[in-house]
Amino acid sequence: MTDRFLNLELAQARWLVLLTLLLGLILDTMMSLQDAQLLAPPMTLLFLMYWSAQFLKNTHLIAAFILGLLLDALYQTILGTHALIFITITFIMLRYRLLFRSHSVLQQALVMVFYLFVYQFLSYLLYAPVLDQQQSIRFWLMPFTGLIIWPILALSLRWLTQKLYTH
Amino acid sequence: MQFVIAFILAIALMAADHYGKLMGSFRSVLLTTLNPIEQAATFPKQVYDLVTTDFTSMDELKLTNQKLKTEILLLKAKVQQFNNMELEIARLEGLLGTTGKMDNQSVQIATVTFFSSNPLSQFITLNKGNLDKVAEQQVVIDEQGIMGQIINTTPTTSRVLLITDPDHQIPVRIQRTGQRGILTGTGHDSVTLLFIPKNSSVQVGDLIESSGLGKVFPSGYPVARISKIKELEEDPYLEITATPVANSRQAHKVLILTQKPKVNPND
Repeated sequence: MTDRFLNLELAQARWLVLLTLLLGLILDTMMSLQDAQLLAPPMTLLFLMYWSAQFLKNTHLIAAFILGLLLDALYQTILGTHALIFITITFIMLRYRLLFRSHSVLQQALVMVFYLFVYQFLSYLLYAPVLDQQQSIRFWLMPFTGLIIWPILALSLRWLTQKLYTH
Repeated sequence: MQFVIAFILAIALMAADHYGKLMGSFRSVLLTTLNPIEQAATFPKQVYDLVTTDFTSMDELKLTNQKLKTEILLLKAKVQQFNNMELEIARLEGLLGTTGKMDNQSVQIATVTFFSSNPLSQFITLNKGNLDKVAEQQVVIDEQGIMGQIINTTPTTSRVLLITDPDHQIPVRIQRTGQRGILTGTGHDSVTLLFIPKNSSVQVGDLIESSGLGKVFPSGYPVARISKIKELEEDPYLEITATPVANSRQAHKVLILTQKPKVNPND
């Protein structure tokens, strides 16, 4: 069963990938309605990271670029900034995805903390947000939320993929 | 190779969006794509609001109706006075030979469908767009004062950049003294009044209104109230913090101002 799951092609799971990315955008939009946005990780990026590590034959850079543009429009930031951040992080993931896949989910969560830190660092450089003390703490604590969210997300998507495509 | 192309494209987009106005229609296309996503994201909140809203009794509705009727009557009386004043000012200005300052505005009511408030960007989305003849740079107010201006439109929605956004500036004057300055957002539901020299007469509680300079915002609308004044030794200007008078977090219905063509009183 695991072998079949590992050999799954993007074309087979296209709808699931699209739906999860759409869900990521909806979740990010919901977070922007709340004051919790500074502490909430970019869910679209997490979904993208998961699929980038699963489908080895695809680069996912076009998806990263388009999703970044949509988030730029959503957050009213300069067009291209989120796209730049997304393609940079996806590119790093592409270089190390085989190694990433070999880790356990908890180890992967630790790696995600690093990716989310890169995301925050690039956001800080590009947007120079004016933050008070409390907001600064929330801003730099955000990567650690990946420790909780990534295992839930990865295990749920793995279960869903196996359920849908490995009969 | 794909990474290099995407990287260059992202940088080019950033430059085009930052230094030019070329990307306005492209952003509108993206926003149109995002409309269903915004609606899906606000759906749980709408359901929650619907469920938690108390069902009001007939008596309460009658009472509210009575209150609103009284309020309308008082407002109509005030409008009559205002119309008289407007005519009087136009007549006096005609005698003095100065240009008219009273702006002739018409309004359009819109509903807030989405609200985003974080240090990166502060904006609201309205349910009126190009099809309702809403255009960029139109000013949006609530019953208290100026909220912001429209920066993007789609066929059915428009996005309003709030005055508290760090990228927003508005030419203003202090109502009590007439001292002019520029009001800019801080990203934290407050605004900063810039370029007010140390020797100016400024007090906490002073009302700041739009000056009309720059021709985007009409003159005389309340914008914010001064909440803190700080004097820095090395700086020739005062550091003034103000609180917007518009209630952007709670506003549900807002008004979009449209500038009507001016009528010459001599015609």
